[in-house]
Amino acid sequence: MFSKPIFKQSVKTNWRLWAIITIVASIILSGFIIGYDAAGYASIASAAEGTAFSSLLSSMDSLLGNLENFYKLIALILGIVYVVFTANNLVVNEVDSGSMAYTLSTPIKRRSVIFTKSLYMISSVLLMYVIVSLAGLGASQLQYNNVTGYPITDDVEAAAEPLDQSKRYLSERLYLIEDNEQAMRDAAAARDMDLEAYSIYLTEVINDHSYEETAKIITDEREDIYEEDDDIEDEDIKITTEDLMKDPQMILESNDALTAGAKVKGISVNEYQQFVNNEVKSLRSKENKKVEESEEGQEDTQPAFRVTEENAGLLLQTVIESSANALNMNSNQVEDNLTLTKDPAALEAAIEATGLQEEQIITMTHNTMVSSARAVDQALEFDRETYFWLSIGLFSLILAISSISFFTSTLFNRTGVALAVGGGIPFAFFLLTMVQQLMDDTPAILEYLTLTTLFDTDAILASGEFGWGLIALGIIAFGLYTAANIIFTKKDLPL
Amino acid sequence: MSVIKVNHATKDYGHGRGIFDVSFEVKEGETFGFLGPNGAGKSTTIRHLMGFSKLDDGELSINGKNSWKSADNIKHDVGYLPGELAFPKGMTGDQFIEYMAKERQLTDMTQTKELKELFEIDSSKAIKEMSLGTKRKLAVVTAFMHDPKILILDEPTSGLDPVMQERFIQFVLKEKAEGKTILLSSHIFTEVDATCDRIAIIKDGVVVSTVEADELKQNTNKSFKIEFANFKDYQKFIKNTALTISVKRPKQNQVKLTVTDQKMQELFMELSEVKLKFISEIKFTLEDYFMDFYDRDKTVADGEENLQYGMH
Repeated sequence: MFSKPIFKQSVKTNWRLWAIITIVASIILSGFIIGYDAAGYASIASAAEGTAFSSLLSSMDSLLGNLENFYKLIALILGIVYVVFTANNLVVNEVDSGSMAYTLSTPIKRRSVIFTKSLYMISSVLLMYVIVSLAGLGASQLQYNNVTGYPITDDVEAAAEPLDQSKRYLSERLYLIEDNEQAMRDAAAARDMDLEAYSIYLTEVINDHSYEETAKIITDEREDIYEEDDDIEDEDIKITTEDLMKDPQMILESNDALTAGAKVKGISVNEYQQFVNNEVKSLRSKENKKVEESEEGQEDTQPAFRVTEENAGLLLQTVIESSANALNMNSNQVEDNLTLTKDPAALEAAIEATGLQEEQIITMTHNTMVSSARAVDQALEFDRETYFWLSIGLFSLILAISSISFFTSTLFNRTGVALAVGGGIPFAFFLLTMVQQLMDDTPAILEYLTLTTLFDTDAILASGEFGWGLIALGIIAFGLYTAANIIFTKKDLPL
Repeated sequence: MSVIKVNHATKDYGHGRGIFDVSFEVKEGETFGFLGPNGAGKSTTIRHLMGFSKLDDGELSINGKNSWKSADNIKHDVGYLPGELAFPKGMTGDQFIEYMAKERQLTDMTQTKELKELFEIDSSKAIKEMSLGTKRKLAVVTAFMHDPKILILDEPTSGLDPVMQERFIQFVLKEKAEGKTILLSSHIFTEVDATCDRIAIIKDGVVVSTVEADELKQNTNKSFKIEFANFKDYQKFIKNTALTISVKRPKQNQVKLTVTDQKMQELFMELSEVKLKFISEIKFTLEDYFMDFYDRDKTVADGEENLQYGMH
């Protein structure tokens, strides 16, 4: 079935376009990843809320979400260019020009000719997206160290110098920053926070990391336990960081987990055990408190005003504006650097404007700074599974499109017709997708007119249902390649 | 034994194009000419013989194997020279030769070397930079590199200069001497005339005549054009002759007539009694014969008749 000379000849005539597209796609994907401005997109997205751009920006609040436009538009059009021209080159061009006559004047079966050419088309697309995906992976790892480890954030970068440690080493041992005053100051400045806020932030991050490590180990242990048990779902075996935050008790049951958690915090296992115990206690007391509160009703000795989820946004805005007035600054400047609200003059104005106590205002400012810093960290996280499915999805989509072009390339005898149909359909898909991506309210019918709908990047990013779309793409590709193979062995060739 | 069999082959492309009920056979060791104007159906017939297309009706076989069903199998013994010179893109001549050798699973390259020397081809250049003649030579080398027993040649000399045309004819004659079976399609009379044992003439998709080349060469009929010294002699000859005069031209005092070899003596006896200005033999060539069919107005019957009488 497989003919080596034909495969070699296919490579020889098509490798240039393949190489160009592969390189360009790799560079653009790497550019998207390296150029990702986590803090910037977060603020743009909030500014664009409610405008026509919001749909475009909504997914940009994470590194992988930011890649949606790469996958849905840029990678799509590059893939289309490659598969349309290559499919055309492989079959109809040789039939139309007549050079297929030389191949078929040898004792080679038509079956082998078309099978080998299909194989070239499929394997070249596969190799292209393996390389492009690896390039993206490499770029992310080099820039953020977030594929194999924790992201290297600006503060880690800044603290690396006074501590004389490599950034990667430090990103796994954040407690080293806590222990060094100079490092703390540099790191806080790098994240636009003061020392107080930064140390709250750092402690939170370290605790989270310790939970993350322990969660991994507990999940591994549970997988070993339930390996034989078919009744239990993978989802139920898995213990997430969030599960542990709600119920740290589980950590105490595993020695390995305790060791791993202690290592992240740079403390002894005993100390870590103590820490977890304290966490468990404080969670319990919080729960009790809640119960008591609801029983006691609204009678309390706390200040008249309380910061709740509902009024936090408004209160913060008021604090910012009054601070800006007191400091004679633009409110945007204050918003960008919330430490300014801690200036005595600003504080006084803010207390007056909100009626809150000084402590409350400072806590609120800290919370805001810490949570926005954590949001940026989260945006820089690299979910390998999501990335894997995005890459598989893109490959399936381009493979399905290549099957359309390949099919028309074998169906028609004239290059012009084959190119018009086999290139026109994929290009129409691209245009429809562009309209969908760039416009807010597109008629729902458009979704049914393009194959790209089956590659549901939104669902992949949101860990929703996307498997059937990819399976459908695979079925389309298989069907059309098979049909092309059958047609070519039976058709009249005008040679 | 017939190596190539074309049996009532019909393929209708519509609008009168195609081939209709074409039949002929090429015997082992025979060189068969397939003559006809452009668009008559020569290439269509060969395309079907090579298994590129499927017939509507009829049957084609090479070495007893069906051309469509066993298309790959029969190619072991067939060397095919396509009419169109469309090579795969982006190759040098040597790369193309290597590619074809690999596809034929050929390891012995002595024949290839000999062919390259015979046709004096420089195959190191990129194909797209080659002249038409060099491309044609390259096609010849790759078509016969495996020393096939059957040669199918579609317009083999178009694009070759006269010297190379002659060399190609010598090549075909050499292959013929080695006992190869050859099907040669052409619209050039001289190469068909020089090489072929039998000739089929195809016009508008229909084989209008199949002739033995020797039949034409050793035609026992001879045609003459005779001009008399004056009108009196012209009249005298017409009056007295026992022979059939096919054309009379009183104004020029000319006649044309055809005699068999046996009646030659009789003709000259009669001519000795009149005064002549000149007498010349009208030579009958394949070209004349072909031109009869080429002319759309002439029917098949007219052509047959001319062959018989050698009259033109």
